[in-house]
Amino acid sequence: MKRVVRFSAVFMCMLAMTFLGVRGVQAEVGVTDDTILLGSFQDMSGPGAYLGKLCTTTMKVWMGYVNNDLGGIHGRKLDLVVEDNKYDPVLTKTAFNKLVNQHKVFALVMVYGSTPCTAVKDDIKREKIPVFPTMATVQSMFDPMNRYLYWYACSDEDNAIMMVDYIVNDLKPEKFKVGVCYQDDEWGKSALKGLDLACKKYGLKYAAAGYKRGSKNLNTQAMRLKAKGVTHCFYAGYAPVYAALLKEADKIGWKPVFFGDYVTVDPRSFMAGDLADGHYHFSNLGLRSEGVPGWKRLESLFTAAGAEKMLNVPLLPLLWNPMLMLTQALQDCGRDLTREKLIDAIDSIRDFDTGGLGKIEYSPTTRKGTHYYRILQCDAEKKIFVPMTDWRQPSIVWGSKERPASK
Amino acid sequence: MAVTRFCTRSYRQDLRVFPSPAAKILLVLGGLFLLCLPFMAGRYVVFVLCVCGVSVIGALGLNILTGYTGLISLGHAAFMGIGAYTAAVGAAKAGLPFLAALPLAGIVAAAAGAVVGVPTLRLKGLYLVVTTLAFQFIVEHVIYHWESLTQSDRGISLPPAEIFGLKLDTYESFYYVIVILAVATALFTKNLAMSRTGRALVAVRDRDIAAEIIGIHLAKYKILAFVVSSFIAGVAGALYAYLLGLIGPDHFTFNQSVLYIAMIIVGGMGTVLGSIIGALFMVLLPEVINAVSGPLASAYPILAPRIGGISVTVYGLVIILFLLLEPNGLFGIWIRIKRYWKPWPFTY
Repeated sequence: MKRVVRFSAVFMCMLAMTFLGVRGVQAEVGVTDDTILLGSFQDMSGPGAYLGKLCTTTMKVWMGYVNNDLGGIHGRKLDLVVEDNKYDPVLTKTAFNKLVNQHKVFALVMVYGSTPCTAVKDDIKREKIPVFPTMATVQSMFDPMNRYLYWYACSDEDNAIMMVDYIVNDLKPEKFKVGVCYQDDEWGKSALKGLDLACKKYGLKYAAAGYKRGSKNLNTQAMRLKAKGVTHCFYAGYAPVYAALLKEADKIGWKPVFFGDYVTVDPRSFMAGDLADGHYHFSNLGLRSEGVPGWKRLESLFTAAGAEKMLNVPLLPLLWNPMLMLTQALQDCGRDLTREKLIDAIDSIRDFDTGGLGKIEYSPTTRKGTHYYRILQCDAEKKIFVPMTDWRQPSIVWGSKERPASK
Repeated sequence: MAVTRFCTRSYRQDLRVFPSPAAKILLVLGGLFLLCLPFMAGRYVVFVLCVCGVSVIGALGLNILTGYTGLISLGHAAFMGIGAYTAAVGAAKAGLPFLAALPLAGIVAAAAGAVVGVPTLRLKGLYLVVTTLAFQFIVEHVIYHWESLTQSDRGISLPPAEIFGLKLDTYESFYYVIVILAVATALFTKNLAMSRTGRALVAVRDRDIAAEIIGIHLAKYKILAFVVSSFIAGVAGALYAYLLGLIGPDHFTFNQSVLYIAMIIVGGMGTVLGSIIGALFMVLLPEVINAVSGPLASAYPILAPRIGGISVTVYGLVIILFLLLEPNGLFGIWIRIKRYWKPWPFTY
């Protein structure tokens, strides 16, 4: 009998130790004693494959920087799994399921694309998995707020308001009419909404001309805006189409001042040659031509990784800034890393230093990471963009009474 | 009459859906396997299986139109889209229950199919392809721009499906609904193909003038093919919408229509089994390529930036090779394997 009792006691102790041991090691999904497993879905073979390659390379450079230069995060090395989503909503859903349920990643990093991200928006909430950040341009990524989904991009709604602010308060032309040429989707519609808000505030009228996604000839839109007497025109869309619009405008003798959104801060805008000169652009990022410390660090890291070609992409800080912030947040969490702790850590970071690459900030009540922008002017001869203003916010900020956040 | 598998069968036996006891046993075993799968597989695998199931239903629908009736359609995704949006609007805005939204989706898609079917009375071949292509683009445009109804890019979120108070809010629970409907669609298609209507459809496909001479009403059967096919597509679209929980304009594009055509071609046109195998093949192939390419990129980092391109090339190559080397599709390969083993161990 004694032997049975002794055996049972030993067995119970072993069982308890096993369970306790398992709990001690498995602190959080995707986190082991020596690794933090991150995941991402990228378009590696679809229409946005160039962006997929850019993101994947940036993540690898960042992981090399954290694992080798910083020695990991509290003794843990970062590991990454990337699934190809081909920019397809259903494949994104599949990739998301694979990352969460099969690879069991700790968090998702650097995802983009309005359609793919919208497809998994509800799943992110249900699985309570941090996504840091999404660069999808649609406002639904941060409004209404989802605790687990962070947004870091550039809002065309903000930019369109800033254009009218800049015309009225800085340029002060005697007579002017504002207009917008926009890609006819959620991205373009956010520019339209911003212009509408600003024009209501200043008591102005505006003209609008939308074009279908994929269009390359904007002759009709240019004619329409010219006929409406537009002198200052906001453009929301891709850089090559912007260059085409400049050429069309020149062809029909329409000479407005253009304000290209953040996507037009791209070398492809120079395809229009001298016609791009003097026009304005918006950006929430630091420029390479400024030689700020953040860009210098990027230059050394990307060159060491053999990815110096990526340095020609002006949007590179858009990918890099959140990774830097994530590094600090992971460090702030300490050894006992959990998803919830990571989110609290991100929300509590203030005045984060990106080395002049742009501002990024969140709080427990907002997932919109971009609040400040600069207005740039294009110097077509030197093929650079020159900052014309300091960092500023639109006069109607998101979350205000005139521009309330969704409940 | 004594009948063996080597003898000529009676007409009655020829009309059986499952001609041999072996087929019935296989079906039961297959059914049991499908029922047990969610308990053995992980959530990701169950989700992929759900997508397979929806694709099987969609492919079976297209097979009735293209495989049996010979009417090539590049607008199949549009019919699925109509079904999906009917279910989504019905469920999210009008509060329709799942059991009402599903048939309604099929009916609305079937009505659209009847409208598109009318020009087919005068058109065939490439002209019909262009007509259905135009229909595809019209539907895409409407979904994108009828914002008050479809919410354009933002898409429509659907509540989880519910049957008699039972909430199907996991992939595992919804999997069974999809499997049941996929099996029902396969049985329906198989029965249809063996019925008078099915034979009439095949006659229209093979020689429409001759079919008309022997008394087959061309207009009736062509429109019927469109209606039945689009009804099934509509139901598949509704299931898709419930499975994904949110649908947007990019879910039902021209690419999807091409994918469905590829499914029935790769699987083998005009056969139920071909549509099923084709759908499974086309859905699982990218997953297999992804599963292989991941470790490959880790083992050979030099390949990493090109792995996406390589995956697409392999995907395209596999389809091209099938078309070149096996025009009867996977079904043709299956038949050859069966024939090879039938006289085994004898060579002929």
